[in-house]
Amino acid sequence: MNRYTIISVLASVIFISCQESVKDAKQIASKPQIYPDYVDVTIPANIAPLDFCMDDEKAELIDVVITGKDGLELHAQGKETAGIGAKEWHDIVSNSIGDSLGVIVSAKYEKGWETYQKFNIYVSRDSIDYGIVYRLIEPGYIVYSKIGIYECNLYDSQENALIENTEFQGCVNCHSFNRGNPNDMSLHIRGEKGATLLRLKGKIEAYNTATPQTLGSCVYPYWHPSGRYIAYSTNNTQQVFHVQDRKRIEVYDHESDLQVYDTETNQLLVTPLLKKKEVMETFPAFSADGKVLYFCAADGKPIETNDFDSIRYNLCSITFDPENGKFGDKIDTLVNAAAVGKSVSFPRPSYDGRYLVYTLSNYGQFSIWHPEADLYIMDLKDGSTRAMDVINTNDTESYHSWSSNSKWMVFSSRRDDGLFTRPYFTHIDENGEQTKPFMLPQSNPRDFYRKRFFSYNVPEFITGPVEYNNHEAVKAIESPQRVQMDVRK
Amino acid sequence: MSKPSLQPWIYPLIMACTLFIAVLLFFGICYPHHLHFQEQNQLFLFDADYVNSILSVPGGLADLAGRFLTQFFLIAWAGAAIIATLILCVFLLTYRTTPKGLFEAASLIPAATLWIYYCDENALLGPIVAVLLSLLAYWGLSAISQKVVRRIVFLISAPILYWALGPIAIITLGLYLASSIRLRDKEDIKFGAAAIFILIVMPIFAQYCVNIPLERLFLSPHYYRIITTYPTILMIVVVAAIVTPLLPTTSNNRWTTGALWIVAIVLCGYTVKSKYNERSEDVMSYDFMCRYQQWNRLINTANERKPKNSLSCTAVNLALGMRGLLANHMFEYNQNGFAGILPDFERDFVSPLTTGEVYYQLGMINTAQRYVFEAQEAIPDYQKSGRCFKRLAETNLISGNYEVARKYLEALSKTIFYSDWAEEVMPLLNNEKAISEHQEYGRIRSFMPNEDYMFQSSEIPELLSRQYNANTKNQLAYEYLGCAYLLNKDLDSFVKYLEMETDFDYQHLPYMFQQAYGLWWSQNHKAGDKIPEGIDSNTIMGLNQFIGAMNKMPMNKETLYAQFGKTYWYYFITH
Repeated sequence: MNRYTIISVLASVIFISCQESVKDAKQIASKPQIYPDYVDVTIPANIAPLDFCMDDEKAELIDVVITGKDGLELHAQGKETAGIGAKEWHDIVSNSIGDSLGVIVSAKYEKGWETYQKFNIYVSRDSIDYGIVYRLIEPGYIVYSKIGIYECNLYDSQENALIENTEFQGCVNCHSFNRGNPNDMSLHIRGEKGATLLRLKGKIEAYNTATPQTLGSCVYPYWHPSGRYIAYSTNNTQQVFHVQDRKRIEVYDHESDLQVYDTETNQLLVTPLLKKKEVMETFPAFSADGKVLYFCAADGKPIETNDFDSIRYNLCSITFDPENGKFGDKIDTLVNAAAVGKSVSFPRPSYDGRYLVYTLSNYGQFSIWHPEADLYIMDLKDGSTRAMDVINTNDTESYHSWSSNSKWMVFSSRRDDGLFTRPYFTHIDENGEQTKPFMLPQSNPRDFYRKRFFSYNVPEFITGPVEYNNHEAVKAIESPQRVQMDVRK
Repeated sequence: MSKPSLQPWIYPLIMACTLFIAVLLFFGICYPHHLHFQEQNQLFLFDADYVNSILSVPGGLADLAGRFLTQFFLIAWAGAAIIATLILCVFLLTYRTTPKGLFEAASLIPAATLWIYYCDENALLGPIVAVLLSLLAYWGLSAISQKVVRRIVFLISAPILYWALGPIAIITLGLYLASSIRLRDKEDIKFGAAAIFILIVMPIFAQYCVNIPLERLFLSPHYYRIITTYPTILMIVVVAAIVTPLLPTTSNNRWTTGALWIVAIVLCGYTVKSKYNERSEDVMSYDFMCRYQQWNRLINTANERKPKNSLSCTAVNLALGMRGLLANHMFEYNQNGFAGILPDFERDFVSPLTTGEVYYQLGMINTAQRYVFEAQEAIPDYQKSGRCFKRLAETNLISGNYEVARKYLEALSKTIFYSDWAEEVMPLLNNEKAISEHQEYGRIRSFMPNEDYMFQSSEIPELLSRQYNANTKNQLAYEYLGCAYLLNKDLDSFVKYLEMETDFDYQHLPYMFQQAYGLWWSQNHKAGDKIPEGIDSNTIMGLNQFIGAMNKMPMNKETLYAQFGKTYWYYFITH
């Protein structure tokens, strides 16, 4: 028996002796109400411990017994959360892949212990990517305070800042990776020193993406699977404010176009079909094989009308030839949402080419402020679409991203408190069926999310640590040098 | 008869007492609202994560202590006492290191400079704590009797002091070096120089630990609210604190020394007077009264001294409106168009708060919330605000976003001064009945818009009209609407507005409305038309006198103002 084993045994003895035994517990006929709601969720094996609190906030102690495959058991007890140990958690979860964990929760109240019906946590055979990258921003209006781009390792929920605006004067937004590849990254900087930062093959450079032939700077990005191209929209955007309603803010475009940036020639590839004055095109996304460009398109409105609530986007596509960077000669409408009084945003095809998930709201394209916004899944084999009812709620579901194996999806939702966006994960099987989603785990989730006055903006999977050199990035931002993008003639 | 003798400690003692009392009275009487302003731009939380986030950056300990003390500024005299005590301590510690004699009055320089520094509303409290702790650290470390140990401790303390106090910590090491030079101890000089070198290179290492630009790490990690500004005045403090031990010791002519003390005091007083910003104190005072809804005090203040800018004007109009005096007395106070009732949004952390209060009282909760949120976001050093958190809790409570309100209340419950309020309000969450019955929240909830539309600051009358129509008991919206027409000199719309039926129990048509109505009638009536109902004979008489004065050539503007400056008619012709 080595030194560490002795220490472990001693620690366990001390821990067990400090625990209160669950005595004379009243048996409750229902499953527990916990925060976050992890009851009967499906998880990947490589996820951080799903620690939770009692929803009613009245429990003095919470006791959790998790039983895995082969009778392996994990017992944890604590005040606000049970305090599930990381090592024990990963041991039991990795041992139960393809099976389920049984979770028995007991809570001690003023009147004594209560034990709830067992619930399950299903451990999927499909692993999830290393982590997610998101922007943390307060759900505000025009003025912004501290903003940053952060990565979170899903194995232990450790967060790490990639770049924060405390390092320079400006705003960061629209981070994007090529299928979760942390080496290729596009990031916009707004403000006086505005630029698009591209990290290609490890080198960060600042670009001026506005050209006389295009509407303005590049906005919403999407990488081509080859890594050679990045599709961008250019948007002339306006913001207005509701006096009533939970929407608070309306962001809408007066005009917008699409273009594809060729990283090898430093040229923007454009086509008249995606630059129509009477049509607003936005949210580009390449298909899994890179031969189709999906996007959203709406009929343009005269600027002075301001009738933004009649702007409705359809899901469209155009073919793209990665060999020569040429676009097809016609636009296909895949989902005519406008015809049914709805509007599509954020089309995101799975990387295996099987499905495409998009957000559907009543109008416009800034769905994060639309409580009615829900996620829909399209079967790319037959073009059929359906609401993702398992994961939708009465509150906003908006931005979403696929894991590199196309088995998991992370999406942002305001269901937690109606305002602050949180990331949720769901497993999607070969039939497009989703599992009950779970919120990004934290060791003390209530304390963590209550104290966090930021929204998780644009959660994107990454397959490994980004290792972003923020000093190099800030140097590029502060430097007056910009690589000027050109338009292919 | 023996010569009068002066004890050597008499001057510093007098100086210390004078300094403390002067600083106390200055901040307590002349600058109380600067202290409130400081408090409202931060939110000190008794929370481990909050504390860790501050301590994890250079200068964190001083910053944390500064923030802790700033929360007491909510009580202005407590704030004044804190600043006075800190300045006094800096003075006493500097005096301790200054050679006694002719130039001992130089020991006043760091303390006096800090006093001047705190005349600036964006000067944070961290630096004075850093100066004080640096001086204390020097005192403590120099007391180590064993030379070798002392040298090593100074050397080791350099990075620790930098991380705790920021670049100001150079005072500790600078004093060590200065005293070594004075004592001509070559070994100590080497160690002192080495310790300073370590401290100077610390920011280079620190930049890899924190996301703060290098120049800020060198100069001011968090000494000033506008983080891109480096307060050079603090360099005077640092240099003075380090250099004073090097001053020559001279013969102790107490009368000359006393004269130099007096010169130092006069210079200090003169500089403080020149830095005293009465205008900003005035604006802050109006905002403070608005924050605490001290409507009577606000009106009395406006009666004593005219509001000097548009923000104060907004506050006065709101106070008049809240006391039901707006339509009777509005033009007795300076007016500057729409900006006087609902100013345009400005991207700063001051004006949206006052404007937000107007929208709040009008019942335009989304807009009030937006203004407060924006004001907080605009705080340049990314801090949160107790005032803003409180209002955001209220707006979310009123609009029924209880979980969001709970977040703000939970945070406020971790403070000294807002926790009682938070505990009091917490039971209102999810309690529709209690909110409806709440004197303030119930009233404002009943005024909330009953239909959604987009806020357009260019359409103030339409906005107010919708707000009034949403609840015709909203007297503030009703009077603001009438006043908006008057400020816009849109008398035709105003006359139509008068035709609207209201439930308000006016004894008579409010005076300002009478004046405007009379003016419209004088411009539009035909010979033989009767004077409309509601306009009393005094108003008609006044109007006739005004028209008579206007027709006198040449028109004397000053006489006109003296006679009619408090009437709508005067506003009408001069704006």
